[in-house]
Parts: sequence; C-alpha cells; structure tokens
Amino acid sequence: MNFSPYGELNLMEKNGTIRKLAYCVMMTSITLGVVAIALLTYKPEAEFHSAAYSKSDYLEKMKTSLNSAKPEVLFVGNSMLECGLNDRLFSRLTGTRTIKMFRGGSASAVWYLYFKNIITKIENKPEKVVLYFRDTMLTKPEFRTKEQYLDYIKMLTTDEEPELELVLYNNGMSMSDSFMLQYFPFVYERAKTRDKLSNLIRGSSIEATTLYSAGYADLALKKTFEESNMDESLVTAVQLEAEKEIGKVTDDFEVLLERSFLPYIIELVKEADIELIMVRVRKRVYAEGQPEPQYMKDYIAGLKNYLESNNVRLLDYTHCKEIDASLFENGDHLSKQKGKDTFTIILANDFNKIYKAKGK
Amino acid sequence: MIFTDLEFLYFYVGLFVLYWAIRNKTAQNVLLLIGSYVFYGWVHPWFCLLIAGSTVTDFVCGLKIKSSSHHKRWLVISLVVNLGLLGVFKYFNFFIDNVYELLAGVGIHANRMTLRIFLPVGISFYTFQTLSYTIDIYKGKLGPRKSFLDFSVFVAFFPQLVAGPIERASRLLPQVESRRRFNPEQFMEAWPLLIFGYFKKLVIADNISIYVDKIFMLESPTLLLLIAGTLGFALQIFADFSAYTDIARACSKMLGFELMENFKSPYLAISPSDFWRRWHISLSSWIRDYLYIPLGGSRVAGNLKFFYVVMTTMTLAGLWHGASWHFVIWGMYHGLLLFCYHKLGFGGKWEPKKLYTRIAAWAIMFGFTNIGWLLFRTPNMAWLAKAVSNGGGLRPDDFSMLASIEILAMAGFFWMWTAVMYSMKSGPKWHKPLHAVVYGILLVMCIIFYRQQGGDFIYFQF
Repeated sequence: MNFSPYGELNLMEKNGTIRKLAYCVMMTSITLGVVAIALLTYKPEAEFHSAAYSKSDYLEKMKTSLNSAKPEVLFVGNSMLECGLNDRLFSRLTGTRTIKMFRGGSASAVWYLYFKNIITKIENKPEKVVLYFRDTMLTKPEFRTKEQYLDYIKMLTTDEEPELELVLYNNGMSMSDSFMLQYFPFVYERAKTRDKLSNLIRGSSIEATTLYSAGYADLALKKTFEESNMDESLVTAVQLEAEKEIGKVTDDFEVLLERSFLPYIIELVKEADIELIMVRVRKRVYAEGQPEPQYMKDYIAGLKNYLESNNVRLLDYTHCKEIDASLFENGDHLSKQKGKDTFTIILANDFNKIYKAKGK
Repeated sequence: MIFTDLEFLYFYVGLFVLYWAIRNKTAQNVLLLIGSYVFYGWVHPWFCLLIAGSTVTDFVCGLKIKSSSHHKRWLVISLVVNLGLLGVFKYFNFFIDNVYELLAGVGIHANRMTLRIFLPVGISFYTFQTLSYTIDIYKGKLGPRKSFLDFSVFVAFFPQLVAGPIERASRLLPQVESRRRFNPEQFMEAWPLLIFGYFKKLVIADNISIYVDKIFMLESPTLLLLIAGTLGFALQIFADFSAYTDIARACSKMLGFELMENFKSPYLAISPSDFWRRWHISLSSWIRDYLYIPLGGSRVAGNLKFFYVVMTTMTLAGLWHGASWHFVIWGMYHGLLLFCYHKLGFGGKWEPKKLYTRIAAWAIMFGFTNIGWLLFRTPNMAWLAKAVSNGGGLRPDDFSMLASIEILAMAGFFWMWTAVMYSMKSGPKWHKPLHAVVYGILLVMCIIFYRQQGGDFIYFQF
C-alpha cells in the first residue's frame, strides 16, 4: 500500500536501497552542515552571562541626564506611564521637580535594572520614585524579556548582574527555555537574524518592483500604520487579548514574590534611602464595569501586605470611579489629553493630601 | 498544546518513543488516548470533560441505534448532544446578542444575559467527526464499535483533534483497530510534510499576518491597502491552515496512521465547485454528504429548490466557521456563487477545453475567492462598508500606496516560495540533491523564524 501524500515527493524510491540510504545521509548531512556552519560562525554572546555583554554608553548617558535633571519625584513605568502622567502638570500641582522615565513595552526586568544601574547610582537621587504597574507585572519577571525586548535589557546591564541571572535565568524561565539558553544561546540570537532576513525580503521586494529605496518604503509602512490611523476599538480588542498574560494569577503571592525582582527593587531603594510608591493603574475592563476577580483581589491583598511591611506605599486606582471608560484611548491606555490630565490631577491631589499633611 | 509550542516537541518525541517501544496494539491505543487528553487539556484541563462527554454519548448512541428498536430516537439524542455542545459553547452569546439587538430595535430593552463562555478549541471539528459516526450507523453504512477504547482514540486522536482534517469513522476507525508496525518508508514520507508545514506556518503565515492584521485594524484603509490586505490574507489563511494539516498528517504518519488530504492547490480552482473540491476538503465533503445531499441537493431540478438547498448549506458552512455575521455572509456569498455558476452551466465538474478559457476562468474565480476572503477577514461588516466606500486613496504621493506595494511585493515573494514547494511536490524534474538543499534551507528558516510568542493557528477559533 502506498501512503505517499505527494506522489513524486516520496523521499524513497521503491527500489534501490543504496540510493535510499545515500539520499537520507545526504539530506541529513546538508541540514546538519548548515546548522554546523551557523554554529561555527556564531560568536556566542550569552544572554544573561554578564561577562559577555557588549557595553554601550547608554547607561552613562541615562545617568548623566537624570543627574542633571535633579528630580525630586521620579516616575518609572511603560506606556501606561506615558499615557497616564502629565509630568509638567504634576510638577506644577505638587510643587516638585518631576521627571518620568518610561519605556513602552517594558516590565519588571527593565524596571529592576533602572533601579539598580541608574536611579540608585546617580549623585542627585530622587526623594521619591513612583512605579506604575498593572495586575501581576511586579511578580512576573519573565514577562517581556525575550525576542524584541532582549536588546533593551542588555543595554541596561553592567558587568555584574547576578540577580538578573538568578531571577530570569534560573527562576523565571520554563525548564525548556532555561535549557536552550544555557546550552544553545545562539538560538536566542535568532531575533536579529530574523529581523535581518525580514528587512532583506522587504527591501529587495520593494527595490525590485519600484524605484523607491527600502528605507523610504519602511517609512511609508510606519506612516501608514501609525497610531492615529488605527481604529481604536479594534486596537483595544487586540491589546486586551495580548495583556491577558499579566492578568493570570498562577500561584500564591508569596510563591510568586520569591521568584520576582520585587524584593531586590525594595532592597535597592532602602539602601539608597529613596521612598518607593507603587501606583496600580485602573484598567479599561474595570472602567467598563467588569468586577475584579477574587483571585486578583487576593493577590493584591498579598502584595499590599508585603509592601506595607516594607514601608512602601501602594496607591490603588483600580476602583477609581472618576476614571471612566470615556477617558481610555486604546487598550488600557488613557487618552493623551483628557485621560492623562484627569489622572494626573487625581494623583497630584492624593500626593498633596499625603505629603503636604505630613509636611514633607 | 499547539504544534508550535516547544512543549509539543518534548511531548511528541516522548510519546513516539514509548509508542513504538510498546508494540502491543491495545497498549498503544491506551497511550494514544492518554496522550490525546494531555494534548487537549494542556492549558484548560476542563476541555477534556467535554470531549469525554461527547465520546460517551456517541459510543452509547452508536450501540443503541443498531440494537434498539428506536433507532431514530438515539440518533436524535446524538444530534442534540453534539449540536447542543456547539450551540452553548459557540453560538449562545451570538444568538442572545442578536435577540437583544432585535428587541432593542423595536423599543423593548430586555436584560442582556450573556454567558462568559470560553470557546473550547476544536469543538466544531470533533463534534462533526463524532456526528458522522452515529449518522453512518443510522444509515447502515457502518457498524457500531464495541471497543470503547478504540472509539475514544478515534474521537480524541490528537494530531487532528483541534483543526482537522475531519476524519470519517469508516476511514480512521479501522486504522485505530488494526495492528500498526513501524514502517520506515512511512516515517520518511512524513518529513517533507513536517518541514513544509512548519515553514508555511512559521515563515509565511506568521510573517505576512503582521501586515495583514495591521491593515484590518486601520480606521480607514485605502482601496489598494484593502487589496494588499486581502491578497495577503489569502496567502496567510492557506499557509496557516494547510500547515496545520501537513503537520497533523506528518505526526500521524509517524505513528502509522494516514489522514486524508485537506487541500489540493485551492487557488488554482476554476469554479466555485472546483474550489470546494480543493479547499478544506474534509469539511466540504462532510457538508456535501450530511447536509447538501440529505436536503436534496443532488437531485433537485427546480431553480427555487436548488437555490434554497445551496444557500442553506453554504450559510450553515459559513456559520460553522464562527458566530459572527461576516462568516454567515461569507457562506451566503459562496452559496450565491455556486448557484450562479451552476445556472450558467459552469457548475459541477465543468472543465474548459481551451487554455485561454481556463486561464480566464481561473482569473475570475481567483478574484471571487479573494472577495470572499475580504468578507471572511473583515473585523465586522460596518468596518468593511466604510473601507469599501473609501475607494479614493490611490494618490501617487500617498504613503499608503507605497506601503500597499511593499506588502504586495512581500506577499509575492512568499507566494513564490509556496510555488517552489508545490513544484517540488508535483514535479519529478527536480533533481533529488536539489530537494535536499531546499529542505535544508526551509528547516534552517523554520529555526530562525520560530517565535515563542507566535500566533495560534487561525482555524483553532472555529
């Protein structure tokens, strides 16, 4: 019985055992050969082994710039901070020198490195650092650390990153990831090769069919798909789907805490005598009337207890009714004008209540 | 678990080694059953309860249809349970939302009762597969099975469980029941399918989808962008779905099973009938045998009756794809195409004699197919109406025009690779060493383009 799916595609002829074997050997050799060449030509730059980092002056530039700004209050976060704080307005309302340091798509690994290698290393340290977060982000160390996020993480590292190695490499990764990274670090360099290949495909396609350069065509793609051209409701639906990962509570808070960067961040601010304030921002689903799940309430209760025991203030805006659904632009992002300013005013008022009453 | 998870690699290698180490058929089937439930319940273990429920129901119904005097009653029970599962998990919210909108339209504001239901992946596939079993027994085409184990493996067989092909009991059950021996030829035959499958998914579908998804999220795309998005989606859905079938067939082959072909170069179709003989063959033949023919489609003479049968069949085929109006409209559109082609004398197995007629027929059908994909991919009908009405975006200074050309050029590049793969499939002219080089390149490309956070297979949602 011939089960061949593709007729002539059969790798094996019906006769000629030697030919069959020779063909199998040849095919395997070629495949292995290509992989071997890739391995031999690859110069390993192990991801979280600190000695192999190629240093850039990025950290120095960040430190210099922050040091000269002399912030009293420093906000740290990702795009939620970008859309959720008007720093000039906050500065005016609270009478403090306020700076925001954000990176779209960043998560706890990046924030930890901000604390370790920038904020606590500058001479003019801020008095207060405010960290914006959602759901379980503070205890999801592996979240947004792979693929396109990896390059930025590397830019923030120094020669010694034992905690980063420990948390990401040993605790935060699945067994398979850890194994691959340990023994086949080149696999994690695929992102670069993939980008190069994708650019090559795009570039050669456009140059072969038009008179335009690849760079100009890329600009056209960027302009065509820029945020202002997108349908807000459709983008929101996609973003909410992608964010489901951080809404999952996979274990007890205590277990998650042990594997996270949070204890290290708290240790760093204590040593540097910086006051840390956590801001849990309101998510769209809650503004739209969805109740907060019990497991999330339990998780936040655990987080709150832990933060309180370490003298870290948690400002939880999850149930802040003044931030209604109309203030959101896409996903969990507040609209850049009205939403941003509204939340900034709420936050500034709370700051004034807490600190001006204390006379700080 | 999905085929592109690293976990699947470990799972499959472990299962494969154990499976061939055991050799005893019953033990192999027990292993396959356990493996299939682990595979299916990996993320949501409660999914297994559903499939177990469906298995028990259809096993009992199958036996009772044959032995009881109330054959029809047991068939109805099987239909109600299977279609009931689909109705609750897939269509309930769609139905309630539409009733609510309808009532609101006439001024009645009822309390909206929406269930927060998570659609179990593959439910449409395995319910259709088990339905074919009880219907075939009722029709006397198949005898009921006495081994619950064999039947359970037939229902839950992991390679094709979540996105087909929808196998018939008469084809898959005998393979489950027979003794299987390791066949090196069959094992080697699986590799090209595996490499092609992963290449189509990881390199083609997941890359073109980046731009297609963006186009279908634009607030107001130009006509050219819409064309680029539609052609890109045509490539994406074919690469994605046929990749799943290829990987499923390859994994089955390695375990000694043969699954049916689900695609036969569908974009070379010259008529709607031809297209459905080439696209998602296991679904279209299921619908033909269990819906179209029972409704009288193969023997109706009157225009009105034929129109009714074709439209009913294709509307339900559209609805099978998802609980949304654009899928319904997509199904109706194909029903209309089938009816019109049939009435013009181009239905059934019509074959043009002259080459230029064939080329023209192909070009027209390719155009119609893509209009269908536009209906299929649109996020909603309001978006599509707005996008189509915005047809004046062909300004030469417009960035969107260049972006469209870039996406079209990229799609063209991937189409070229697809053509290379298919020429290898059908052409004995290629020298075998060249095949090996191409396989090597494809494999390396798969490794490079593998993304841990890559997209799911499109047909999972159905």
